[in-house]
Amino acid sequence: MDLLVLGLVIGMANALLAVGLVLVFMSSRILNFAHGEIGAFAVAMLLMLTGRYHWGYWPSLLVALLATALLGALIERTVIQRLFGSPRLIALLATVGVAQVVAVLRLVLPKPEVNGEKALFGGGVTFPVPFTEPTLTFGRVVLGPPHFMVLVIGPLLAVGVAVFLRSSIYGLSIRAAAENAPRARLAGIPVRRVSTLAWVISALLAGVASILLAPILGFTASEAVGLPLLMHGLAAATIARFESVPAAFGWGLVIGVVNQLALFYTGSSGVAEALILLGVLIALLLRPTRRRRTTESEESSWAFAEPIRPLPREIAHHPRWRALVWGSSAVTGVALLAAPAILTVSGTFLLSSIFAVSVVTLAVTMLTGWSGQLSLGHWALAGVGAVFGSRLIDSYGIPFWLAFVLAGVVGGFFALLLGLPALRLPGTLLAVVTLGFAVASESWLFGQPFFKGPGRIERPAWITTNVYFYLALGFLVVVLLGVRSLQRSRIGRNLVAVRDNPAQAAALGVPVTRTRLTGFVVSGVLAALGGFVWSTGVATANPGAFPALRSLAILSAAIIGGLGSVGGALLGTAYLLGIPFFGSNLNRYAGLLATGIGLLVLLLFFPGGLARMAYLARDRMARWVTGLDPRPDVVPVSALREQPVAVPLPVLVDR
Amino acid sequence: MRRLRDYLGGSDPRPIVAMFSLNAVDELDNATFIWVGPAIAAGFGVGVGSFGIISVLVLLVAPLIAIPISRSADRSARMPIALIAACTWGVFSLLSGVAPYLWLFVLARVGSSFGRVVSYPVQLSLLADFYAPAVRTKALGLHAMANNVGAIFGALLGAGVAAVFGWRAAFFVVVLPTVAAIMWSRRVHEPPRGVFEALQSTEPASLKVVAPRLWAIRSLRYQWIAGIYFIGAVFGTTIVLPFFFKDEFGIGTFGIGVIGAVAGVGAAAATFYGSRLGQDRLNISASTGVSWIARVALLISVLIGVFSFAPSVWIAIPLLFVITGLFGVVSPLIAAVGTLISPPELRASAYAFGQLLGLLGALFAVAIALVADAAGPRWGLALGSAVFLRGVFHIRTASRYVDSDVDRLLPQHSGEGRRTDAEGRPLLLETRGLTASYGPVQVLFGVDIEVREGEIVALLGTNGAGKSTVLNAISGLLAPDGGNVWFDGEPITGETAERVARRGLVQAPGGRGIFPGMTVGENLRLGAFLLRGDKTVSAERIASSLELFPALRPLLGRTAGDLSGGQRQMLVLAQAMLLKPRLLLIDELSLGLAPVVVQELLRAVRLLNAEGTSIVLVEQSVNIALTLADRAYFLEKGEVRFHGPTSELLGRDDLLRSVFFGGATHAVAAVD
Repeated sequence: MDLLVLGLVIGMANALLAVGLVLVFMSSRILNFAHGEIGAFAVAMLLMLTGRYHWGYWPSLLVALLATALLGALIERTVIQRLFGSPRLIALLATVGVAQVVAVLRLVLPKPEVNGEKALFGGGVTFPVPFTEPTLTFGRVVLGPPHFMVLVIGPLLAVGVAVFLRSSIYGLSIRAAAENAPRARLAGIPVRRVSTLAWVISALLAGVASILLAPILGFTASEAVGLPLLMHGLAAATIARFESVPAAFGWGLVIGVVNQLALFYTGSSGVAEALILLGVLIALLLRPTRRRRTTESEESSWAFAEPIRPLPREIAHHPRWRALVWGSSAVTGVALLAAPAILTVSGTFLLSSIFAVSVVTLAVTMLTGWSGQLSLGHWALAGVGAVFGSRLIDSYGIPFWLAFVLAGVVGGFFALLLGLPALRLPGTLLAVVTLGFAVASESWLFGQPFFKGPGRIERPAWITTNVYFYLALGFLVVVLLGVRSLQRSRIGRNLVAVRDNPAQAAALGVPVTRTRLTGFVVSGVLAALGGFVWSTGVATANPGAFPALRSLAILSAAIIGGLGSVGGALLGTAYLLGIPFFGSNLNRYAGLLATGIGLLVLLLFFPGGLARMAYLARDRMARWVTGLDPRPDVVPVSALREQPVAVPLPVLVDR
Repeated sequence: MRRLRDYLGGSDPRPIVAMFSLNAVDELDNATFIWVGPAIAAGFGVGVGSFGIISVLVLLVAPLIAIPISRSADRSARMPIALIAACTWGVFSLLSGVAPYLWLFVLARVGSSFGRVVSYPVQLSLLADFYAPAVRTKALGLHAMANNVGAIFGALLGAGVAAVFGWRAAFFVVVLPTVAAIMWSRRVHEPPRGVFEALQSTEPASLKVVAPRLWAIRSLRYQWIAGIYFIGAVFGTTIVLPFFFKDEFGIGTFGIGVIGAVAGVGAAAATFYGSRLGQDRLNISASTGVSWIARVALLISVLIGVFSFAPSVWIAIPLLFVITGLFGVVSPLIAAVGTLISPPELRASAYAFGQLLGLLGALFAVAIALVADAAGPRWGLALGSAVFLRGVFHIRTASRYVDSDVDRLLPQHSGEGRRTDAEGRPLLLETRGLTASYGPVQVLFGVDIEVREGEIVALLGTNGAGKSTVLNAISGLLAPDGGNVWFDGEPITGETAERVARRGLVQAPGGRGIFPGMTVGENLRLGAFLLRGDKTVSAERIASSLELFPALRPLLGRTAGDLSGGQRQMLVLAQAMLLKPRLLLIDELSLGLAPVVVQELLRAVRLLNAEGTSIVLVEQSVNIALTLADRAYFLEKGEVRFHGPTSELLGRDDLLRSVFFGGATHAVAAVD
């Protein structure tokens, strides 16, 4: 009973997070993956003002919330509005980039001081609260002012939002703008402003919820507070199907209670994360599919950049071009083989890591680019392969190559478990599930003795830096060849067909769910293998090397490289690993900032990614070398106009 | 002097020398203020944040005082004004040097900046009267160069003096050239006003009237918004720069001045060589030029980002040189584009409005300075890079629209809207040369339509003829590429749909016009969004529209997505009627509906028309259009093929048969 109350208190805050997510989803059909970070930003602002500048609680709170609201408006105006016309999944990806940028923003805020020294995020600082009274001992728990604040403010805000959405004309407008934006504009509803309003309210909710939650949970030095926060809200919102504020609120409460019970009886918050994931999976399995007269067009296509064309025959077969291609391939090949001799040890090591991690990125780009499914947990799958495989070698003395195969099998199995419920349904639910998996594996799975074994990943003695290099290179080459042939096989075609038009694909006899699942499992296997190879090369890795935030970075790398492009996966990974390598002496957040900003810039400016730029360069090169223009003939509009329009249909006047 | 005279085609070179020196010396003072900034800030014991706020304050306050004064320059003699203004900033420059308290220093800076703000436009106006149009560009180019010269020498001189004698001395020293310039300029006499042309003495129209019109020109709007970010970023980073070099690399006062001079040389070099690069692209087409600007601006933003984390001063200085150079290339081009896309009669107002908006950028400058204060100059500069990047987005957007905006200024498509048609009947809506496209596919090819007050006009044509596109281009859902739209004599081209709706021009978008996930009642409330200020009126109107469509009443709580086609169409019409529009555009009224339902809808449309609403009706079904409409337009492949009274259309068997395979003519005959 006492635990129940504590659970309700925490659940209330979760519920507010969930309500904010639902609000944004209602207004723009986007899962806002920056939601947790926005909340964490509010907390950091409050801590900075009270802890560093010694402001009072109330002015600090006011300023922190104002800043958070401004942040919400800024995100909406700068990123979301520019993606109004884009597929929703693209906008969702953009919020992943926003999350990374906001995380950096939070981390560079001046830290509060403890005894005159800078403290880490909240570490060692007692979180400020406005009152110290009353406290109430209730069974095994002590309820303090923070708890009462939640109990009062939580329901008030939730009811307020629910009433606002249902009865206020502005609340109605938020929903209307999302449902049919052109129609809303014709009715005189300023769609853009309304959308900004929704984001501001949502950001405020995230801020309030996080600030309320902070003193209760006691944020520690962890830099990854954003994701677990997000996950709690997201879980509730998902179970509530992003449709109803009351339902989201209710499920938020339930999750809070379960969380507390799990925490009390097992003593680890990781179990709670795992339970949340389980809950989401079950809810998805039980979710009925509703049918309506109007089908909501939430299926989205990924064809947001021009496809990359092969060179025309006359150029590809041009002797000079061939000489160039063969020559440069030979040079590259020799350079790669000789790289360990040329480069420094750390350079070789970086290059090998890029090769190994590229396989994970490739798995993401395959999954997202070809089959239109979004995974936010691929680095966790890589972790599964790495941790499990190294344990096989370490604890059971299984030979390396067998462990390699088994790691892949386990990775595929986990992918199957995740994909089975999520892929039955359209939309972005796989993203939620995989994010849950990433969070749960970071906080629970990788901590389990049966899984992690002695808790370290040792590289076998025979793998020196050079062996690692050739191992990773060979592995990558094999994977590249395999993926190439897969792309041209029936499975590859089916994946694209199911992505572009599931209904039509099904009508033509392609098993939609099975195809999606196949794609996801193959991708999971690849990720696990890549993780395994990476971990065997890294001398001192441990299960902590697979944080959830890293999964977002891998996804960003896939987009930066160019979704669906095999070469892009390599480029993107090189960007992801290379920038921190060169930039870490400047600032330790350079990596996070680079991926976040890189992701946003590419989504907004060059949706084709680095791969697209590389191909443009190729085209120029081809023209320069052969003198032929590789670009297809562009038909001017005026010429189109003269072409006969399709024969008009006869109109039946009397029906 | 001799060569200068030759360069100016034999005109007297003395005025340009005077103006040049006046312009250059005021920049000396300004450059000193910027590049000696850290020393000044240290002198008063403030950080970069407060210093930034001071700079912004100076930037904002001076124009506010100056605007009314510079107006008087249009009437009184200008040489004295220029000289007095120069004296003013000389005196205040001196005062800046002796100011014992921070607030006095701020006051002195405002005074000095005030002198400059007054003087600059007067100098320009004088030059226009000293030099004939043929050589005027050359003169103006020389005059602009004075800024660079002043900036370079100001940084060197100010910083050099400050390094040896302290920052206060720097302000004394820059007064000397000012005095010299004033003394020399006294030889130049006031020219007669407007000798070379009949000056457009018309006052620029009030901004309140003009601003919405200019705002509707999308490329101009985005360019202005970009300007806010650019000015904010550049101004903010300029404030932070000296502090950056001082804090991160330990550069002394004089060293910073040298760096400032290097930056100035970069800008000067760019004005020499760079502007031609952009002008060439601008000559290809406006959009080519603007996308080029966007690309260069993106490069600048990236370089500022790299610059902010430059690990050594030897990387930072060349970068700074390139950045200032690139900016020097871009900024005059932006101004050139601005004149290209603003209507000639509004050009002066457009310029003024753009300047005013640019002042908003000061907010960003403050933010950059504050961040630099809190987290270090590197982060301030990084924020500057981000702000600049934000501007790049807008320039990119502007490039998408600029060609069509230029096209709209073509003489045959522009001009004033009319309130009456050729026969003197009141005109409600008019389009001239309307073109529109979806992506690369052009759909409309110059559509001219007129709708008179109280009329029902039918818009006919086959699938894909562009009927709905015309409606969307009028109502603002789709921005036209070219041509203009006037509603009630007012230009509404490119206005957003929500603004157009507020004017009383409402579109009822056929079967797609509902919010499917919401109830019928909520749909109606949303239809009355524009009446939200007055609850009683909106409730009354909802009640009366339900009277017209009693079939909707039992459905109020039903989700709109579950309605039948006919019920939806009723809902859409009911929503449109709530607003009592002056002009209603109805899309696909009868598509796929049972005849009984169509009859009921027709009744409602007639009723609405009788109450004074003009109607444009898009129809596939010719006989419905003909029974309802007075006049018809017949569209084919995005062009008007026929227009006139509907009775005449009946006579055009060729048209009807060619499009409808003859079926319609028989049907029409049957109806008759």
